Amino acid sequence: MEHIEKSRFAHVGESARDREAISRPSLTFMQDAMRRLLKNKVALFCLVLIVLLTLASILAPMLSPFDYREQHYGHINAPMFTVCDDETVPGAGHMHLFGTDTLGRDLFTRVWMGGRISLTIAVVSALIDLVLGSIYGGISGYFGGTLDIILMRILEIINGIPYLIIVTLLMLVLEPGMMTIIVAYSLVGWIPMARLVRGQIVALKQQEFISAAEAMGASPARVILQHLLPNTLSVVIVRVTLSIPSAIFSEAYLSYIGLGIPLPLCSWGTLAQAGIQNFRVYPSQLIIPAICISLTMLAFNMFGDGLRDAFDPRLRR
Amino acid sequence: MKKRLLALALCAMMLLVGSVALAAQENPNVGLGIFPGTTEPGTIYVDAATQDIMDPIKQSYSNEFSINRHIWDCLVKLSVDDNSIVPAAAESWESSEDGMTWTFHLRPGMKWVDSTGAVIGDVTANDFVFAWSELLNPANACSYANYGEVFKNGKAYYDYASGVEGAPEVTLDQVGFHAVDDLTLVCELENYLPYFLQYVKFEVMAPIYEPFYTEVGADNYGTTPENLAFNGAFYMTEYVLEDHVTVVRNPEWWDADNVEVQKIVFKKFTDSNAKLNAFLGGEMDVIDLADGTQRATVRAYGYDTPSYAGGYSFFFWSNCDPNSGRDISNVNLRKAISAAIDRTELVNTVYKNDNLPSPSIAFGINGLTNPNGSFGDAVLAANNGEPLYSATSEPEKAQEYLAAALEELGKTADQIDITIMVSEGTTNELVAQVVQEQIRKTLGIEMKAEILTQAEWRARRKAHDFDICHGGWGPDYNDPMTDMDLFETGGGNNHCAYSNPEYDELLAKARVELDTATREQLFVQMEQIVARDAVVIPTFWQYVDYAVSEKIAGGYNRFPFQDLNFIYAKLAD
Amino acid sequence: MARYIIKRIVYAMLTLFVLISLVFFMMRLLPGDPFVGDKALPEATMANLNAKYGLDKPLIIQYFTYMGNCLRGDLGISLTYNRPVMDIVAESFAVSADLGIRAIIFALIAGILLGAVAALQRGKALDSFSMFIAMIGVSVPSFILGALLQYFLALQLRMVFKINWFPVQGWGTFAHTLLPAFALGLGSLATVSRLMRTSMLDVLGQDYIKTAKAKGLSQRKILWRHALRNSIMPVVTVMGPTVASVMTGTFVIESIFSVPGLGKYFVTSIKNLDYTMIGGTTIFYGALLIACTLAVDLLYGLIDPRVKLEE
Repeated sequence: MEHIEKSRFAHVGESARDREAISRPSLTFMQDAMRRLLKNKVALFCLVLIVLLTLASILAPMLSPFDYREQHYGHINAPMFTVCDDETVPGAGHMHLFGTDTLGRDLFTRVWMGGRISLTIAVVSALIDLVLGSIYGGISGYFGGTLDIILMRILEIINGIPYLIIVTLLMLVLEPGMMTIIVAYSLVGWIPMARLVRGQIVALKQQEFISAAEAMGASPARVILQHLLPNTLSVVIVRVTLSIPSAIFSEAYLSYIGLGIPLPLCSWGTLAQAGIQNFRVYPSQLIIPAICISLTMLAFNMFGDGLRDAFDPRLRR
Repeated sequence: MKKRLLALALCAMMLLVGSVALAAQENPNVGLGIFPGTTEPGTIYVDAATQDIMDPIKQSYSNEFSINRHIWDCLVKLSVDDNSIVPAAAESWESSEDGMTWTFHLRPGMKWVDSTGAVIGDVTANDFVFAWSELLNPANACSYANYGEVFKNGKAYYDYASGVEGAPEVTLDQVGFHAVDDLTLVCELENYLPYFLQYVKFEVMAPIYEPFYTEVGADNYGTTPENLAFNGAFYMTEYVLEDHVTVVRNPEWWDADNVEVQKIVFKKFTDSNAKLNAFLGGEMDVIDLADGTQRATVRAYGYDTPSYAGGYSFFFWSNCDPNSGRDISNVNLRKAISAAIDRTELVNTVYKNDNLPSPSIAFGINGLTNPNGSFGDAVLAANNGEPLYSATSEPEKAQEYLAAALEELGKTADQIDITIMVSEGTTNELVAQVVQEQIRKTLGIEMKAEILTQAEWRARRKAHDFDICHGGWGPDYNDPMTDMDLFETGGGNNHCAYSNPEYDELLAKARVELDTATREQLFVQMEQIVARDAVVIPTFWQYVDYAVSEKIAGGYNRFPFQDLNFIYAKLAD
Repeated sequence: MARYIIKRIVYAMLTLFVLISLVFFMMRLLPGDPFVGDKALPEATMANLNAKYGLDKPLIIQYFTYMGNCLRGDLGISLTYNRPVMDIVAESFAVSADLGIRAIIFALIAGILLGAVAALQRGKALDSFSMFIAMIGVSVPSFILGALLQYFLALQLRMVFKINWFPVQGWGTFAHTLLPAFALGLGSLATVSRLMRTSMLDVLGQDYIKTAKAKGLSQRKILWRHALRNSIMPVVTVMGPTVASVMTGTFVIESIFSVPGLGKYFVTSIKNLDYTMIGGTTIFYGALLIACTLAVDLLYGLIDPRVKLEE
């Protein structure tokens, strides 16, 4: 038995008002979550990192003296920090901070140009993933029975159709571009999420607090959204953060098989892909986009962990 | 019938283009101790990218033919020393005065072996007759069935058997190939063909042992080594789809005494980096290098890498159809693009190797009047030694053409709508981006790029549903006709939808012309017309770098029409 | 239980039927023609090719023929390889499954261990280490990871240090499986360990764990009897489809390490428009996927007594 020192107790006095007073200010769930999130230094740092990466992607290509598609034949595969001495281009005299690629294009500009595409695809896809996946999984898991079986079989069918066929057919209907890639990824990307949420809910719905809510007459929508989904949040957040790189690489994979973003645009995935071709000779062409991807990943994951802790109803004190 | 042996005369005729190598290659790296190659004694590992089909009559890729060459003997073959026609299964042959009937005398004592190397029968003239009948059998749906159409009634029979409407009845024994006895084969031709032996040499014309084929069944022949019979220098022991084919020295082969290699593994790679790693790590003996960066990596070890030309000429097909309503059908616009492109920079940035900015279209073809030189030399000579297409960008000329084009089209440069149709693959995408940028810089035209799967790309190209697209064209046989009939009105490979009566007339003349000098001049004129109308926008002539480990001392060569031949490879001690 | 399983098998058949039908018609919408090669073929040859593979008949007839053949276990002849699709799938799946099982075992054992330890040691060095491994696993895609492993562990080790532990590429010996199985498994390992960690944390906060603690159960018993078992659910959920896809191989790992597996056919068949091969790979993968999800649902009931199957 732990010994508790007497000095840790204080006498509140006789007044009934003092005895029944709420010692801490009353907070809503959101307020409480925000408060805990702001206290989490690591999560905050990661948030700042995400904002910085986003800002760099927006601003750097606008401010750079080089155009992302401009090819300098004089400096093919230039190493980092090479000064551009080609008088025929507007950026002459400036430095290629990250060097140039195999066609002599400024990698600094291209990396941030790629950031625009990759970050957009990642964030939008992750959000669609989150919304579609948790609602579908929630409904399937909560109602159970035949509906569950049918909804889950639909997932299997979508999952079973080769992704390449879906994408190729989509390309016939839509213009190739970022939107198409987001749509293509979203079409199948939410499936693991739906499965995961359903799995969690199947286990959760047997618990007492759900029976209690149902007994009090809560509608299914309320039970799913208010009671079940918040309790799956931790798993959901991990899955969302994991789906961010999978969206980035899905885009790279599509480019790999020739169905990615239109040329000469680039993304971190395609830059990494180009880098891997030459990495034994020009390692920086692989390392730079790889670091960008990893930083984004790390930031989103740590931030996700922070969110998880902040929103976990059981950690509420 | 006056008999004459042609082998010698043809030897001289079929000499290689440009670099006249009169002997097999020697490996200068032997003894350096840098890349000693694979460890298994007597075995070499050779890179062969396509090995989908091993039934000889159904094959269609050059790497499949390369494996074919090692395990079957056609009547004649190409020499490993100088790419000339030399005897193989036939030890001699003669043709009639008019060149329409050919008689082949087979080497006596040749044997068929199975995948264990056991002898299962004798090679006879009937094996060729049977193979060619199967080639023309519609049920087999052979891609190269048209090679059987060089024989008298070959096409008539194929059409009739395929059920083409209105085709008159022709029976198989009316087709112009017959076995007179076990060792004598007589061929009658449909049309006069100065290069008939090039057809007989072609790998899909390999023999098939009838009793064995009937036993395993037409559909199973070639699916596994057990379902194949061989008469060549090697026999197949392993066939793992999309991975490798292993062939082992055949001691029963008529020239087995001169074969030093015990086993060849033809290995397929889909990742070029992995292939290079395999070579550097001593798991491969012969590999093709993807580009100049890979070549530089190997050379950085102080190791020499040779290169060879397979005769592939690369260019942008462009849509010339005036009714397509496309901007690109304007000839001045095409000429503006052709003049604006900097071919040297294109090669230097994307390939970084020995690819040559194209002076003209046809590549890998011997000259007609000077068989020791190339047809390209003749084109160059007729143009006062100037290439038909500039190696570097000509901005002033390009601007002139553009001005003319814009006036004819009634548009401004930024209204011009051109899409490059790109077939997937890193290199193709790089080419598209370089040209996109060169045109943007020189002409101010923003070209779009559209990346498609190979299947869609080919189908769209065939349907003339594109503006411009980049691709290579390799010769089928050693005569300028193989390239120049590309632009014939309505031709199956005329993806440009080019139509010019003047051009068609020259082509018709070249088909019947007997005088080689006149014939050559006709082809030269065609090249000039193609350049004048910018039917295609040429980019480069391809040279492929490759690396050979020190395990192989020599005795191999790489030529157009036979890119791999390691039958007589000499191993280092 | 038996009724539930029978019901699920009937549903599985139906699902497979819908899947095959959908894919059959979808693949015929793909642009291009399987027989248009680099050089033009004469009309008669094209017609013969189409006739050989039955592509000359009306689509609906082809559909019924195909379904009938499937019922008899005949998946047709590959358009590209001119061999029975069944043979190709059987041969290459043997290789993919071999590699896949190794990768899954590695991912599961290492992933669950890392995740559980991270949760128990939350905020300590081991937690950060497992986070780091997971980060590498998810943020380095297999095309980079595979290439780097091959370059550094196989090639450089051999060229610089003369250490011959790992072959650069190929298939056949145990050593050949090491690098590809690692590259293939690392992605799943990351997912497993991340999910395991978070779900373990959830479980450790539950009342029954507190009860068990209060009862005086040892840490080890709590872990094995309560925590691990209850937190493994999300892992089981994701492993279902993962097992199906890992066992059927991946294009990237197979091409980097020259593994003669099934994975490449999922990509090449579509690129080549090899209709019979697309159908064959889809049916095979679909059946495996359905079987795996069924297994997952059955496992739910076994692992978590709160989940009722028969509803």
